[in-house]
Amino acid sequence: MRRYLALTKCAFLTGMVWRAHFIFTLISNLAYIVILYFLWKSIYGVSQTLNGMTFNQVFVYMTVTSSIFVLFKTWLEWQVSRDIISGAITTQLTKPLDHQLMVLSHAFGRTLNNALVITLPALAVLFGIFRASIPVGWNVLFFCLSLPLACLLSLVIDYIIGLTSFYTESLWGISTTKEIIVLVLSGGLVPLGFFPEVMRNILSYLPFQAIYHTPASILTDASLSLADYTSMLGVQAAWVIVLLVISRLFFSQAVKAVTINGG
Amino acid sequence: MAIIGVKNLSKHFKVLNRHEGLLGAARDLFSTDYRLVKAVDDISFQIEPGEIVGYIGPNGAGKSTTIKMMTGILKPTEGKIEVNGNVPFKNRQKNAQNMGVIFGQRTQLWWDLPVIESFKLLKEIYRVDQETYDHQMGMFNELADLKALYPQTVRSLSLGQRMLCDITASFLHNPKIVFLDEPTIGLDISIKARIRELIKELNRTHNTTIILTTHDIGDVEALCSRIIIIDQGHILYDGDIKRVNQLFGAYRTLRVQVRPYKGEQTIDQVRQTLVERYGEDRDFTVRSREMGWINITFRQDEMPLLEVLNYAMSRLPIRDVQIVELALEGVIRRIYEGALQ
Amino acid sequence: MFANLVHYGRLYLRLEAQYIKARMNYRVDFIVSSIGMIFSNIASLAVFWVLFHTIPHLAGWTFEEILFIYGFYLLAVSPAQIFFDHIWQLRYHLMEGTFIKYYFRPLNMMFYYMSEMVDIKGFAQVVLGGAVIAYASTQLGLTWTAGRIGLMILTLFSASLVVIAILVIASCAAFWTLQSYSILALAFRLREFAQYPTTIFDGFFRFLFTYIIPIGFIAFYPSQLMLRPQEASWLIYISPVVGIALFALAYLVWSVGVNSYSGTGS
Repeated sequence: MRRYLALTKCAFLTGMVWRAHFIFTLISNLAYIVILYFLWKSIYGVSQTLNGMTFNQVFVYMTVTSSIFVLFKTWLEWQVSRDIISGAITTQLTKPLDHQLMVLSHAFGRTLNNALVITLPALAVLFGIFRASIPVGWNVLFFCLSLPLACLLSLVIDYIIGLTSFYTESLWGISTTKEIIVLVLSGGLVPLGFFPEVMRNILSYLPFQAIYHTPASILTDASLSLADYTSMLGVQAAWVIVLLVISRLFFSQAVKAVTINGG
Repeated sequence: MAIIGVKNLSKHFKVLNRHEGLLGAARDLFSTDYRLVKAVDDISFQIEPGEIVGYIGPNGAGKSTTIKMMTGILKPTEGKIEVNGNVPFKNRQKNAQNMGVIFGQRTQLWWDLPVIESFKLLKEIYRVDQETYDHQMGMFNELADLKALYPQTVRSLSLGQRMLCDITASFLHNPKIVFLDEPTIGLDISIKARIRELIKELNRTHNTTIILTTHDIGDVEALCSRIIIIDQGHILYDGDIKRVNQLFGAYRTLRVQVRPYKGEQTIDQVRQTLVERYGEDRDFTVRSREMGWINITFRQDEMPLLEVLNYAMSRLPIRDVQIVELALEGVIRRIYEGALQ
Repeated sequence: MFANLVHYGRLYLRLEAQYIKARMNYRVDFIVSSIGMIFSNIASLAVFWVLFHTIPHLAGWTFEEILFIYGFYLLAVSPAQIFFDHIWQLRYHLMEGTFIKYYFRPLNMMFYYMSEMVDIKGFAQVVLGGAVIAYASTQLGLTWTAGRIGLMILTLFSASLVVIAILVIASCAAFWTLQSYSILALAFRLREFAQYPTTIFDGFFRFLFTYIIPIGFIAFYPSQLMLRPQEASWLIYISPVVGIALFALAYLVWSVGVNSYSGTGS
């Protein structure tokens, strides 16, 4: 009896903790949408379009990118780092499981959870309260295809960041720096359309825009051709493959270095 | 004049009656169905300066709650409490100035700093003047010889070394009262002995009052002349340790592993060996409850533990030895059964 | 009283010095996290820079004025960042029962708890904030008279108290729920509202950020007083009162929390 009560208490408290977490995360994200709304409203002032985007487009774009930011936040790099520091990663090498695959699938589960808790309410507010609208066409389908690719890309980058723990204990700094660079360079803080021409050109050769900019711009723009959409997805997929390869190389290199040094 | 006076002290907690299942959890959210838990219920005692008092009882008996009230962390529900002339809850800071505390296994020292830096910070915190500081540090060195540990960071110390440092640190500002909560838990026999010795000396040199909570009867036997036993919020016994000694000091159990082990034959061999030394009429038993291990239970006043151990070691092919700690729960059960009346 | 202050001051310096010494074992970490910190601030500057490529002003405020507000914001949030960084650990201390040690010393508990950590990288933020203010005020042709400097110090002081109070109150939720991360994260995010002119918000939210959660007092209202005193409302003159009152409230919440928390175990 006592044991079961303890279990109930445990489940209940976990539920409570989760509930509080849910409510405050929700408020936090809604608050951010509020800032976005007023900030961009006052940026637009009386203008109809800026840099070829309407207020409505920018608002949807920014809400999507900021929701994706929270959506993809799985703390994966911290898990990798813990595994490395505790030595769990080296014992896992002896098991017939792939560490990267394990970590990625776990993080993917978290993302699904995040989607339920964060993205859906955000979208509800976006369309329900702020009366934002999106064009409906092929773009919605391609957005749904583009999102998992973006997620995978983001997770692989986090994984690489986590692997730096083989060499340094400064994960906080590295992870913060990465986060902010990705945010700025992928349109998480200002739509890439607002960037000067030169910078936009440079950015198109970097993987970051495939994380936030690609899904957000697909969703807000229904005027592109199927070929355009497909090629955008192609670029995303290419970056996923390239970074996956890099992360595998990095991993085996780091493990080799550690096992040689007997760390 | 008593240094600690506790009169009709009670501490009650309101605890939510939880319901089972998902629906129950939802109901609990709005429930006002509380149950009163009397963690400490109408206890009184007085402690004189310089005493070492063992404050013992099973888990959840109310020990920590009492200590927390004496240190000013918890406000009593009812009753009076005076420590060194202060009401702890009202004068937490003033009370703390004359108090040293070791609470649980958590160090009070600074984890990342060398030991000596922690002492210097404590000197600053308690406004200890240089002369007293030098004097105290000199004394600690004489008693415990910790100099070699000073340059090491606290995190790098072993549990026992850390406890030695923690204990001396809690005496640095020459407090009138020191609360020691489980100072020897998880330590091996030799370091336990060192720690007990240190506590005894510190008590003797400064006439410091010490309240010791522990599960280890060995601590109590080595240090306390008086014990207070608390169970379910009530004081079961308060007085001389000698009377209680009859309860848990009387019998001791020594576990030995004899090789080669040949069942009954080996047990007989052990019994025979002891009979040779102590004779037939002594009150002891030898039996085996677990393959390979033999339990020897005897009265300590007739057969001193160390003597039995030495004798057995010299006569028998003993591979391993354990001294069985007496379980406090058993003692308390015997008190309830009227063993002290 | 005075002797007490001296004691606490000396003690604070000692504790911090020891903390920094211990942290210096992780020197690389300090440098890398300072870079991270500066990067995240520069990112906000970059956003303004990109925005003002397209628009001439934001809610009537020029780029340089917005920069000034942002610099003020950086300075105002720094004391909380530097001296009250231990709030992020509060929930761990409470969950694991290590918080109890703070009760045992003859010191003010908030002082003792907060003094155990100092966020050195916050100083990088102060330097950046100072530089941004210097640049913006030069561009704006602002002269630093004694009166203005005094005003700056006074308003900064009360603004930092507002930030500290909001964060401390949020972290105190841990005393009751043992789970304050999301609340603290929310407060941390609300803090970001302060870098924009409060006038971009309309009725309800402007009221909210002025009177209920006075985030406007962190950077916007003080900057308004410095840059466009003729537009500043009477509100800004009570900002020291707001800061002190809010901090007192935070201290009260902390004290109630400290008294109601009884530690784990019995």
